[in-house]
Amino acid sequence: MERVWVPADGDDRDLLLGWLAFHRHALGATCEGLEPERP
Amino acid sequence: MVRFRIVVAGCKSGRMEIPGTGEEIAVATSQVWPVLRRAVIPRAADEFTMLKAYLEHYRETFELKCAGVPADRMSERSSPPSTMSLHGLTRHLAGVERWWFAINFAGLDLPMLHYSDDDPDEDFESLDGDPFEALDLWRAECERSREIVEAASGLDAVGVRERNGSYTLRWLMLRMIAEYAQHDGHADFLREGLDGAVGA
Repeated sequence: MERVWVPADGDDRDLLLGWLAFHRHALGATCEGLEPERP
Repeated sequence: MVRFRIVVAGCKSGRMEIPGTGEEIAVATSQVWPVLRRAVIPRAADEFTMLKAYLEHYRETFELKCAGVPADRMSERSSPPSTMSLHGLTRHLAGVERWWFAINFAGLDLPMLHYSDDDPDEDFESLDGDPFEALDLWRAECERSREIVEAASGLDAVGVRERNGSYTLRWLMLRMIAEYAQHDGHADFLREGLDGAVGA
């Protein structure tokens, strides 16, 4: 899975959205590869 | 109609009666740690105030997760197969506070805590010391971090030492909030594994 990485820097909107995207994506990456019967 | 949120320690969901009215309402609450929280997150405030409030909230959450745990249980790896412990997390967070705020952002000439190139996992693995002393050290590092933040010119202030490029205090505050939120989740499972206590 190609990862969304933390934002390098930016204004408040860029950083807030960037960090939120990173952690949403991290949840998906953590779950990737699990079998359906082991959610 | 006056609407308010009823928070009941240990309650997850159900129905509650609004005192004095006989009216029942549906309640869905997060489990709450049964102590009065000091760190209040304002609903509306400037950016700097909000970021500081969130970071304080998560620091306080970690403190609460450790509160009441006997010293001889702080190093228990209570959520296998993870090798984490509350003692290890305390050491790790003290090191993170010093590394990011004091050493990198403020440029202070200080040794890294609980880390060496020969033993990069020293914070989580070397648990021979007193866990309560580790907590005191963590609290002291948090206090220095607060002083560094208060002394900064603002969220656009740039860290003295670059880490893969320059970064602002805004970036660092968000990074630390994320790190604490992640480790508070770890602490949540660890504490539950020790004595069943849950909530935030």
